[in-house]
Amino acid sequence: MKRPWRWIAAAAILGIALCPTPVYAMHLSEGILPVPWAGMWFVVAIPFVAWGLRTIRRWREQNPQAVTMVAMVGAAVFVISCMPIPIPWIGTCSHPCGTGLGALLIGPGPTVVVASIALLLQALFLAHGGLTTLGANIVSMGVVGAYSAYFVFRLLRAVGIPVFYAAMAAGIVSDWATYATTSLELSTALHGDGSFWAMTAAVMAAFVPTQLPLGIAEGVVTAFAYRFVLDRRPELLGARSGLQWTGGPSP
Amino acid sequence: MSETKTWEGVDATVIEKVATEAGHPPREPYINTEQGDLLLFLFLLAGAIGGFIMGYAFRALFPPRKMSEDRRPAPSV
Repeated sequence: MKRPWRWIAAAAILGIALCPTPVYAMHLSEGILPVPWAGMWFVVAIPFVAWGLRTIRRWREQNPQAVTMVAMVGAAVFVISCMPIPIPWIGTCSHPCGTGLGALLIGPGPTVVVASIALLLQALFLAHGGLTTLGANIVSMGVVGAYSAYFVFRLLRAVGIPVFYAAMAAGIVSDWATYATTSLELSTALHGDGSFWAMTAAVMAAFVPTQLPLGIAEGVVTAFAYRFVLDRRPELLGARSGLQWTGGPSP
Repeated sequence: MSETKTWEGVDATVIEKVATEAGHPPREPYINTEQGDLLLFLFLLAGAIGGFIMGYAFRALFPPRKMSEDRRPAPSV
């Protein structure tokens, strides 16, 4: 490997360029959810995290490259979910999630784990999200984001949709499902005496102008990234490889 | 949503607005890094470390293709 530091420096500069300022979007901030609801979302999230950890541990024993792949996806989810994207015609910023792409590359279980780590670091050091709302954020971005992408991709491939378009749809659905879940989490806890459905619809409608284009952009990036891996290292993806450690859906 | 500042995140324009109206405004983070430029520094640091890990792992998983023998320039005499 000639001059690896050149590549490492380029990656670091890219990371800085992608993540220049604080940004907040789907993350529920500290203190927003009442304690019982915050606890309930932790209870929902824990089995998914435990399942993902078990999967990663199993892979590590079978193939050391699995750890490298999980590390790459984890770093990508962390950076992507910090990345502010301005929407010029709305005048606001929001961020993609990256968990859809993660689910296609390493499977939904391990994606929940890397999303949890990313969310924990963001809550601890970047004032992005919160410790009490960590469970809710894991459920929306990690669990729903990853599993929705995984099942959409598998469904579309099963009915014969080409890989590129199936991956694009998975990325779009993952982004939109994450924000829809955030709306549900918010309205279930805070609707009070008002109508739950009216509040859910109002919060979702408020997200639409920003997330509609951003979700499509995330879908396009997911499709190109997935096709890149499929072209260069198809053995890393799904059951096609014949390897036991690959967790993503089969192309 | 008309009172929002330009380029605010949708957390402020949507989530925090709804939560505040419902009587659950966000409170300060337990580790408050929103002091001066500290948060900006931490975001830069996080981006650099994340970018480093991504680049390092990418290089390990997708090494550059080696130039085939016939495309290599002839050694100079």
